[in-house]
Amino acid sequence: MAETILKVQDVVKTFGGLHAVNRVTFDLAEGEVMGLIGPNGAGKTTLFNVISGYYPPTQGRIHFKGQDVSGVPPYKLAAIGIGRTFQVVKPFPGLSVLENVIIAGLCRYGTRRASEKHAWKILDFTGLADQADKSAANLTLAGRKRLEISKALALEPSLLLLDEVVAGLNPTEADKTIELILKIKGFGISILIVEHIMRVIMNLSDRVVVLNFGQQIALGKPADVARDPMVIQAYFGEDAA
Amino acid sequence: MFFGVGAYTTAILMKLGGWAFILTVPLGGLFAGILAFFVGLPTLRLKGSYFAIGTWALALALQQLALILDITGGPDGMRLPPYLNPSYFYYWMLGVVGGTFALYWILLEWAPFGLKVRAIREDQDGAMALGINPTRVKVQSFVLSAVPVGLLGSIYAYWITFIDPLSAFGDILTDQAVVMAVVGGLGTLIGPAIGAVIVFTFKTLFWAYLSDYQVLYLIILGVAIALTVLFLPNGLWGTFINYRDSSRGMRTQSVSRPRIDASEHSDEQEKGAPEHG
Ligand SMILES: Nc1ncnc2c1ncn2[C@@H]1O[C@H](COP(=O)(O)OP(=O)(O)OP(=O)(O)O)[C@@H](O)[C@H]1O
Ligand SMILES: [Mg+2]
Repeated sequence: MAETILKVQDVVKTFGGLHAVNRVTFDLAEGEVMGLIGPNGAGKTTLFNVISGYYPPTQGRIHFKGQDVSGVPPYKLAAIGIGRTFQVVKPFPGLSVLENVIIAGLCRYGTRRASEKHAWKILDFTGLADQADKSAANLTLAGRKRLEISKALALEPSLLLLDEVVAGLNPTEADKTIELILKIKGFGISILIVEHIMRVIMNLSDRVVVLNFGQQIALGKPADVARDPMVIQAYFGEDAA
Repeated sequence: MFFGVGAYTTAILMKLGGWAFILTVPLGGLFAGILAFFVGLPTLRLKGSYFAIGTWALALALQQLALILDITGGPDGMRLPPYLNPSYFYYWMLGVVGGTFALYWILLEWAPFGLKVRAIREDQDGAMALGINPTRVKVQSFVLSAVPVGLLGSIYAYWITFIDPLSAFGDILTDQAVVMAVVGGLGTLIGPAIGAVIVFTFKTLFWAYLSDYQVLYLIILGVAIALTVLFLPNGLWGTFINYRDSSRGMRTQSVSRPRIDASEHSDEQEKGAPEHG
């Protein structure tokens, strides 16, 4: 059995009176891909923000590689191996694609020169090398999402959080990104992935966590989760009623 | 504020400590840097205008302190033994400015530091996800910007041979510096230098021809800032760079892509506008 890399224990995050994440608990094994799904506003992005240090949990604990990292700031988590993408992409628009990735590599490689070498490798891998000199602001949506992945990868993370990196892409682009994620998985990087497109989640995930109104309503193998009455209710409940 | 710290460091050490000028200059820079560190650390953590308000309040507090303390001579200020050799001070200033420019160039254009600063300016949350600690980089930048100002304050004190709380901690100096930076172009190395030439030329002409209307001076500076922020948010140099890059971009793009007509219209407009206005 592989070691646990991420332990989410009873995590709560409230905004005022709103329980955006309410008592979520799961473990992620090394090399595992876990899908995180739920209707809009279920709390997926908020959970990502808690795990990656943008919000301290209101309650509960997060352990990464056996170390309690609850409330540790994002830049420290990035340095110890948690890479993330943003649902609303955050490129540095005034900088070139290459510079964007060089910045991400600095925390591992120290100098600009070493980081640039590394950045080229990453861009070759993610298929952005031919757009390296372009300003990040001029990328298409597919390009910007790919840039998000490139930057997170440049950190050489052991855990990667992907927030809707496939959403909004056309089927060809989507397939390319899925292929890319499978390759990343092949490196043994653990992945937590948020996606609304079921096909993507079913294809990629070893297990799936389902959130609804902040609460964890299911956890298990994709096929089992898809049959779970609670999950069906959460997704189609209103239509059925 | 840091200018005053440097100026008073030199004045106090030379006058009361009998130090040689040359030794006081580095200390002026050092104290300015230390002060910047302790001011920056708490205020740069906060978002928004706390930092600006905090530094402004502190500048006033320091000015008041210089007014009431004995070692600063209170409101009478401090007089230093005159050293009448303008070229001596010219070379000192040139050395500090040149050294600062070279250091900043290396740090910003060549070392990782510059990329980190730009990343934070473009997207702070995005930068944090990549292992950059924004507070740390901001405090480093703040200290780096304070030290040369402290050095120049030190030199200024001995050059002018007289400082008082108003000349050392007054607003006019900072106000002018802000105009230089904003008009020339924030976030560039060349921009503020261009801004400085413009402001200085304006100042010289103003005092030559309009010295009867002193009150106009700050009003004109204020209007200059307002107009720049509204119409040239990147300043003169920044606007020039953008214009140059975008016209370059069009040329390279037109090789691989069909040329877009709109770009030609906008070219014409930019050229035509000054004639009408
Ligand atoms: N910074 C914030 N302040 C207040 N409320 C917030 C904040 N961020 C998120 N919320 C609220 O928390 C709830 C969960 O939002 P979150 O963005 O985590 O959902 P999500 O599952 O990512 O949704 P989507 O699928 O639309 O991306 C929503 O009701 C949202 O309005
Ligand atoms: Mg979301």
